[in-house]
Amino acid sequence: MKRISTLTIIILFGSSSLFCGNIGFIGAGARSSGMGGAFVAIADDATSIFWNPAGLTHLLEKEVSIVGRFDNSIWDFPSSLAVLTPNTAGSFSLNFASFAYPTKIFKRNFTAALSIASIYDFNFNDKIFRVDPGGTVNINYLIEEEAKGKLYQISSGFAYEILPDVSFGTAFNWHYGRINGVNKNGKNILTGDATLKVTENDTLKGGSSISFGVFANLPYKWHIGGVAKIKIDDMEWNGEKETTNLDPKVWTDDDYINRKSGSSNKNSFPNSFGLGVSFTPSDYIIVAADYSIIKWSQYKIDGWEPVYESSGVKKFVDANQVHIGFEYLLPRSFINEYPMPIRLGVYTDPFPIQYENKTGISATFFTIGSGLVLDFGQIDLSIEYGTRDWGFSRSENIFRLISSIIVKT
Amino acid sequence: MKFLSSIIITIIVSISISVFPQEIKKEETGFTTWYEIYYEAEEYIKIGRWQDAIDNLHLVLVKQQKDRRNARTYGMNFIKEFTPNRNLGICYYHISDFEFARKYLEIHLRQFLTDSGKEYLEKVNIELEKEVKANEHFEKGRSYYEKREYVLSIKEMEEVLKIRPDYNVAKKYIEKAKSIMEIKNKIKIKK
Repeated sequence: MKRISTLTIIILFGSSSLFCGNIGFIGAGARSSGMGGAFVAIADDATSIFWNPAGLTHLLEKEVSIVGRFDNSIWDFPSSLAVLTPNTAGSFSLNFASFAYPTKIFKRNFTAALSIASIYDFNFNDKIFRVDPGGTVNINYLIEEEAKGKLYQISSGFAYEILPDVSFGTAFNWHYGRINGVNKNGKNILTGDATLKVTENDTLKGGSSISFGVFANLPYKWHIGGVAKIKIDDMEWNGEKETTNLDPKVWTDDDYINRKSGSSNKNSFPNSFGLGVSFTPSDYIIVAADYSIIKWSQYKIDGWEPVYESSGVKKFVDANQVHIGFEYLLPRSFINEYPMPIRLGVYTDPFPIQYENKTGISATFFTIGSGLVLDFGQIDLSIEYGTRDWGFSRSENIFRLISSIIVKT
Repeated sequence: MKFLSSIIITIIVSISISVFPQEIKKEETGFTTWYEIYYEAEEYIKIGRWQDAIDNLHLVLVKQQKDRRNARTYGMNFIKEFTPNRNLGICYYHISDFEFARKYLEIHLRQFLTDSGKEYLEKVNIELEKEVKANEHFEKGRSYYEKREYVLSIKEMEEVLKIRPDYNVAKKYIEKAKSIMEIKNKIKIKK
């Protein structure tokens, strides 16, 4: 097969989507999203445990945050397949919740926090046209793929103000997920015969990592933040799979036929590192930029490497992400009582594999957001839009809507 | 590995606490950010600890000089009316330092007009006018005292005390004038 199943890539890579630069980047909070995810050197609310735990020391009041997220993908097919309608996949989920409790220890700020984040949403619905073994497009065959499930990250951490303008934070992250049904149905379009049926249920558990973060206020209203996420345990991936393949000449992909029922794999998480800087020249403006690297080149999945080889994937490569964000509060003459921000951002979201014929798969996302600061806390909304070129004349237009509420108690 | 990570965290926290000095920017308050010090000043004002409030507000002014609406503290948190200059003016008013009170209230009103700022500036101006009058009476009283016209001196000093009951120097002049007059009366009686 000349192409790799998109779902396979997403699920395999999604299984270790750990850092702020997840595969299919999922952040935490509409404010950070509106600023393009450039939040390592801002990290000043209850979502900080996700971005940079050291930022938790900013908090003076207890905060609860809840984040909802709607993802929508529209797939573009090549013009040769223009007769086919691009597929759309969309889902809404609550993807993040956290609680932060600030207090004082030795007269300095100390904050403990808990969070649960859906760091990967496996919900997927797609139609793929097969390339026949000879290498030419054969639109006689169609496979419909569907998956439902999530990978969660449960974190507990704390932050302490070790110097008046310097904070340190750490968080222990534990992962658990389920994929409740990966269904693949292959059929011959001309005859309508169903020739492949795959049903898979997976449990992902046991993976853990630890995050370390630092945050410092510099002179002239500059701030810097750094975060490192280090693997502790591999995640275990247990799959139950049933395959009925009535046409092995067409459905030869290892992904569909090789994996045995009851198989178990260990996934090694990639370590990741991020560095951010922000500048707050006034109450009204914040400018921030982050750079992060996820060491996908160290990524290993027991027993799965042959799939990549046979699918034409050359190798895993480190993902370098850049996030740039801007926040501007509307002038006080406009909203006197309740501050209202406008946010803009951009970030790159590279996919960490190299195909034989490509240098890598990347995507650039543009974000815009706003919110309202109320007496009880704040509500925020953001929109992300980007396009990812998957190669093989196939691209994905991604639209996301993120809403969040932070309540101070 | 979890056990190892717990040990690492414990070591890092222990080192952080032991290595770094405990002194902070303002030892008296224990607060390290301008907005925490400002919040504390507001609490002092509520309970009438004017001098403590003044100390805090001067610290705040080192970092944030401008009175304004919606001063951002952290995240999306704001102080709706951030008025360190006005609050300093109020504090100085309450400790009867009217010159300083007027100075900070005028700064406040140039930056951010509030009703309470105007109200306090009016009060301060009235007090300053009184002070001018009190000083005029005081100068007259002292002049009479030096001319040994003690009755007139006492009358002027009493005018001072009507305006400024806390004018202790005027009280002392009255006491001195009265004691001199008593001595003179005794001498007259003996004669």
